[in-house]
Amino acid sequence: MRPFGAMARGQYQLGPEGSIVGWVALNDGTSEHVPLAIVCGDTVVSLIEANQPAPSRAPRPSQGFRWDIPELVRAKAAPLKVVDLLSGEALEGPAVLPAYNDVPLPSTAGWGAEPAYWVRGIAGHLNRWFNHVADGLWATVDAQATGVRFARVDPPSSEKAFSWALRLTAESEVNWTVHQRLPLAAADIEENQHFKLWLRLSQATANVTQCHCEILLSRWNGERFETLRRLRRSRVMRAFTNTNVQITLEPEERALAAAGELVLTVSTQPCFGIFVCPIVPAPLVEMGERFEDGRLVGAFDACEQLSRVMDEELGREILMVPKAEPRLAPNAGWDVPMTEIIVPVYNGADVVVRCLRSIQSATDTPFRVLIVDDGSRDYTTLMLDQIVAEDDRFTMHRRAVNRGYTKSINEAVKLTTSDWVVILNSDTVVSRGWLRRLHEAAERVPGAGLIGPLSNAATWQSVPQAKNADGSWSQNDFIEPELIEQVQERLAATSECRYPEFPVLNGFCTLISRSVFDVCGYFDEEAFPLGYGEETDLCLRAGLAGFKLVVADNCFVYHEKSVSFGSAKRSKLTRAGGFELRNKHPGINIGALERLMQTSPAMVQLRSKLNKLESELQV
Amino acid sequence: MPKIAFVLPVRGGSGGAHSVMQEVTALRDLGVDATVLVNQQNIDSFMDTYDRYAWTQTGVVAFNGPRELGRIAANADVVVATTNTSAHSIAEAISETRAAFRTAYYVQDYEPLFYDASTIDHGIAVASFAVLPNCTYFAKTNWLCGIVKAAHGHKVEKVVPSIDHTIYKPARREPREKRILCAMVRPDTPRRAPRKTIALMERVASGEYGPAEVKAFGVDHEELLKAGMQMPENIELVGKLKQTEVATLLRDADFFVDLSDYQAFGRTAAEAMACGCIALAPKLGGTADFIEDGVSAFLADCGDLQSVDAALRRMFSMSDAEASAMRYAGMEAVSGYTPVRAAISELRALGFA
Repeated sequence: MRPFGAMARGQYQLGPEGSIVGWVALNDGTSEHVPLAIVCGDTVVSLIEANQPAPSRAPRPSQGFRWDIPELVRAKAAPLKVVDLLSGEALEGPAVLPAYNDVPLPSTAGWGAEPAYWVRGIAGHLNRWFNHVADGLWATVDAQATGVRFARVDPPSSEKAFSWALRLTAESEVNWTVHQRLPLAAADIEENQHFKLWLRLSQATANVTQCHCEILLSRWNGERFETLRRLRRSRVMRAFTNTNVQITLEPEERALAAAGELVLTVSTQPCFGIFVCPIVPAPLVEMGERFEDGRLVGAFDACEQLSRVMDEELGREILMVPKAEPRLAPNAGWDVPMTEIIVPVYNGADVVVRCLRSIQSATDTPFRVLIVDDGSRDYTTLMLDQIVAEDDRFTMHRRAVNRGYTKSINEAVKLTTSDWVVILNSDTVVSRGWLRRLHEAAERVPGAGLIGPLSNAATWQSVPQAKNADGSWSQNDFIEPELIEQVQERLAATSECRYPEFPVLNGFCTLISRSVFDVCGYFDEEAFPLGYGEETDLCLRAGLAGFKLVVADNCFVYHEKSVSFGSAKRSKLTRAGGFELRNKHPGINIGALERLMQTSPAMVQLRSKLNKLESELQV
Repeated sequence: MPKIAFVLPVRGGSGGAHSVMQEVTALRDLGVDATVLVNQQNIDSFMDTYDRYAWTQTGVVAFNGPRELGRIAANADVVVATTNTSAHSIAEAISETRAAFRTAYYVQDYEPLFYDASTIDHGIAVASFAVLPNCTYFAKTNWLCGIVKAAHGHKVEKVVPSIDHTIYKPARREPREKRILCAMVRPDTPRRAPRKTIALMERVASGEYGPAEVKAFGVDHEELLKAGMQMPENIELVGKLKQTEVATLLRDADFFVDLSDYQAFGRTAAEAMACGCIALAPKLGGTADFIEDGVSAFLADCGDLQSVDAALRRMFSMSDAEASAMRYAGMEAVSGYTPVRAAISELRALGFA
């Protein structure tokens, strides 16, 4: 740090369009970005960095800066200082920030309205400290925050009262304070009126991630947001939930609301980021037909949905839900439908080619293959192009930029049109008739939405062993790709085709009904950008929606279980994926799901019948 | 003797809090080092409500935040959550203090049903079944055990519910011309169906089912007005009652009606039965554990007016002999719900007996 007493090393002036522009000399070239504090009155209103080219008149070396004066600060004249935080000195420049007369009037738009303008566009970086984000929307971020970003994003899909939300994220856990101006209509708030405020966290960092927050009634007093009172304490979770806020305005608060000065503030404890929606009036609890407490309909539905994944029969009994009529599977004249097989690829030419060749030779029902190449190197690309050129059932979808595994798969699914899609890992080898067997399972189980085969290495779908003696997942190493037809033959002879229903399926090879995507949406790109949980999440969402997840216990697909990331990175991704999964489905007990799959009578019996498989195979 | 700490962050006075207090009293009588931990915000009200228990002076301890909860409970063998928020407080206490106690969750109601499914409160209530490590779950009705198992996959130990039989006990009834029907009205709790209850009481008071006197309790006029309700003139509003006053009313009344949307247990119906008052309770929930419809009391599908109407007609059409038989069956059905049996069943659930 430069010693005190030296000459001031920077200047600023009031620039055009309500900005402050200036420069600051670099400290012997040791720092390229000089942190500056903008101080209005006694308040630090923003922390910025001088990181732009300096004007020609500035000495060298130096850096320039520009700060657009936020709307609120422009309304009133105030003492002004710009402080070089490295030296602790104020730069030379005007000592007073004048009042500007171009401050827009508060919008007359009502509750939940889209902001009339976004100050820096709908996505970008934010300064530390104070930020004017959009019309009537401000964010204050910790001074130590780095990599602070904002974006206008979609609100929760269930909410129709508004169409936008603000996402704020940082590289570390920081305190967030978001202020939203209450619309002028707030002056008409009736006594004890209820409002709802949707919030969620941007990232899961534990099995049940939650962050305490306070919801405050505030006003802008010309220099800073002044808290009038706390409306309630609440929490923010990973999934969107709404907090009920009860408001009764005092007469002076009504006057503030009528002048557009009343602000609702959300202040959180440290977290990586939050989504904040506009506050909107909440509907009254209405009497339902069955329940006087109308909320019970949704609450019982939510409980019943959970039971669809955990224990459907018990759930129906407990909640007095009539048993669903079983639908009969149409057998007569049934043709196996056309199926599109999506194979995501990233290098590994030999394994990939082996997989694609096995599809060519072993699939005896109508199919098309969509290869999704996520930027493979030349040799793999060459091999893939050769297959596509020689067989018109194979199509290539090549992505110029790797935007993440889950986005790739979603893009591919959106490119398909058939009623059934298979997502098949490229490190698999399929057996003769595999696709037909998967479809037979779908036909035999009414309501089947996802169907998975058995394998040598597919967690609970593995045979003959699911786990090793030490508790790790078995890969049944004695099963080699060249033995796959023998294994399939043995399985066909042994299986009773009981088609057990599982709460989740291993994603290495899954036949998925188009209706699953229509009802539940696609794989979750935000929570699982690199995979590691996206298939389980879709399974759980499908189960909650009432689809059956079926194991085709007469169908075998070999899985090499290659490693796409190094073990440290994989472990980190698995952990992060696990957190996201548990936070998306906090009511679901993953341990209990595992127990259900472990004790599946059909699988226990089948494994017992296959316990001599190793000795029966002829190499 | 085991040290068991029940975390009960409430003001006191609710059925659930009464139940925990009488069971902790029984546990202490059995020699267990049982304590109740109450959050600082509620401690004064809580102590006032339960000043009749001498042990509260040492056995009820206030905590201020999870860190202090962790410190206070550090020596306990088991720390028991009794509400969804207390489960989160215990989880935070473990996380902040690395406390090594075992955890348990006394599921007194399926609390996600208290809230709109899109709210943070619902999310927190659902997540309360995911935050406690190696937790022992226990509940006092098969319905509660079932709903937690069905929705969250947790095995839930069934424990015996408790009623304070020193208060809720039968008394000699003199013959009278009109039957007395009473019901509790909870205007701030929609799932307790206050509007439906008032509407039904009005019909009963008008003589639709036979000569009847109708009394409402649990609320006063002011509260009703605040909630936008009114008590019809033909219903006697006896107001907010203490436990002993409720027992006196139930001992005097012939019928008690609970039209709640559902009842995880149905405490007041059970207490009415212990007083020899014939109860009508909702079928949805845990009441079937102690009510055999038409034998020990009546069950109705409270979402179906015809079902309620039919149950009331059966109720009012009983002969004196039939009513006596039902009273005896009702008293017998809940006679085993003693705090000592409840305490022993909890010790078993926790592996201490």
